[in-house]
Amino acid sequence: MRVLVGIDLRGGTELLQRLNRLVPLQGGELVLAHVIDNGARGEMDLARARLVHRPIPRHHLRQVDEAEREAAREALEEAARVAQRLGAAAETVVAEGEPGRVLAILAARRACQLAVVAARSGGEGEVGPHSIGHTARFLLDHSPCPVLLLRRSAPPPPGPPRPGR
Amino acid sequence: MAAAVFGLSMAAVLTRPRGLPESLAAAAGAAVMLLLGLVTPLQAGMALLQQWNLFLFFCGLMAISGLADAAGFFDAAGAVAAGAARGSGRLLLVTVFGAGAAITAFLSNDATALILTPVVYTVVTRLRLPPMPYLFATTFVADTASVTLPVSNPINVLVIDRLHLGLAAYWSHLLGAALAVVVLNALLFLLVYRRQLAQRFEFDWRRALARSVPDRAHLRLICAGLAAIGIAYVAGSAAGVPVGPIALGGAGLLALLSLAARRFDAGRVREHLSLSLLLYVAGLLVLVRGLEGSGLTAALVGRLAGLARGDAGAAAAGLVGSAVAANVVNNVPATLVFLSGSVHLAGLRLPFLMGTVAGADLGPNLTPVGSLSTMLWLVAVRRRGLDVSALDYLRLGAMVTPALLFTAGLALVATFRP
Repeated sequence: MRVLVGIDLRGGTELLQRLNRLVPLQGGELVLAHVIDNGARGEMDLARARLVHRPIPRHHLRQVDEAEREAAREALEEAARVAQRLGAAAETVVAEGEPGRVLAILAARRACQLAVVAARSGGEGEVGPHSIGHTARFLLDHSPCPVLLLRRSAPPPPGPPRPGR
Repeated sequence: MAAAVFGLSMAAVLTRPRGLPESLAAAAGAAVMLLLGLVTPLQAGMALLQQWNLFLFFCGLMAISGLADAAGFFDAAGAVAAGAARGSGRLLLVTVFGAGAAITAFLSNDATALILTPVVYTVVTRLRLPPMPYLFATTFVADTASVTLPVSNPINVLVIDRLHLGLAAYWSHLLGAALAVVVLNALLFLLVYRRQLAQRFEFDWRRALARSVPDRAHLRLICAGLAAIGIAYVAGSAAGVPVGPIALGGAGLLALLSLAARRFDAGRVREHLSLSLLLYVAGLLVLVRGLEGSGLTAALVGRLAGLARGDAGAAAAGLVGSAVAANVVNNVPATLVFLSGSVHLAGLRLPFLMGTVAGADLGPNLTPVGSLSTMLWLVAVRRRGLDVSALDYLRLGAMVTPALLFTAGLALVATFRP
């Protein structure tokens, strides 16, 4: 089975270990994808354009680009090492754009049978209306294949119903 | 007629038809004012000459930013901020706020928004931290800390020049507000982003500094030069010396220091200089002069100030009016209109314009963009495929900015009580 796994800058290795507990990855084929969210670039342009009409100096844009690529490469290398330890064949992909949209496109292009992402980057393990992030929600709506959302820790079971008055 | 030319010009500045740059739209509007005789060439010339200090300030400021950037000053500031955070994501937000506030205070909001923002983004990306809280922090502090000194925002220079105000008088009304809003802004961000900031990181600031700063001796020289410029700004403002020549002299000093270190990079400096910015401001000055001739600016400001009673009321009216205007058009034309129209306010002029400074400096954080023009830019960017989290920004602005404006208003109004 070919599985697409969305790898964040942090928490990718933990995500794979949790996935392995649910779906043993031994012998599986993984597409580990990190999407550089270019929304942040937009924010920087926003900050600039709001004040004066001058572009961000080119060498700073180069530094930003290098930092994004380097961080993505590190995160994917860590994840690939874990995947290898778990016995899966892993391919790594760095893409750029809105993460949910790009992951949905990747799932279709690579003919994946399952897409796996963290329910929310940071603040996971909680339940409630904010427990699913933008990326996971977009993927749920648009993925061409089944989607598995993983929380950092299993939510506590719901308590017994409160007695009504 | 003047109002129609002004309105059409502002619409062209905001909507940028066929990609027309704002500077050309403003200049074209100014040319129409002249051609229709709504402003005489003499009046236009006088309007521009009166602002010689502002133009010199802009030139000096851009060159100082470029020279400091070429020496790696902003990269060093980012590395020191990350090192001082001692591995705590929360403390990093505080140190980023501190670095942003200091850079904004002495090198203006422009330097923070334009240069510190990508530097901080690079640092937090390498640390693999969620970038948005830090990116929003630099964006916000560029405005929030821009009340601190007369040189922290070109708008302050405009108002101070017109009122012939010294640093002591400026601080007597606005220092309390400036400090209060920076602290409040940092606290609100710590609260809003408490979950994303919970992460820890490892950072070797010496290694980061070695990577991003090409020549330590050059950086030390530039830091000494910047310290001298900072002292000159404060001493000069206190003594009533115009800040434009100080900024230009400071740029000259940094250029000499770079030449002495054999590190002068004309290309880097040129990258920071923008003639279109000067053209944009010049166009606006002539447009507002035309509007002034029609009596509209005086009528608008008179009506606004008429809603208030006493000094405290005038300060509040200036603050709220300019904050709203900064979000409808942009804070530069808004301030020019308020300055022009406040001539007849007599005793209420000082409190009204002090309120204008606070509102025009802090107001742009209210909407995701601070002005309609960048809202339209946002639409254009989205069409190009970039995803900007405007909704997040709007939510943040709606949560934080009213509190900042209210706090600044209270601190300012308190200085006008009998």
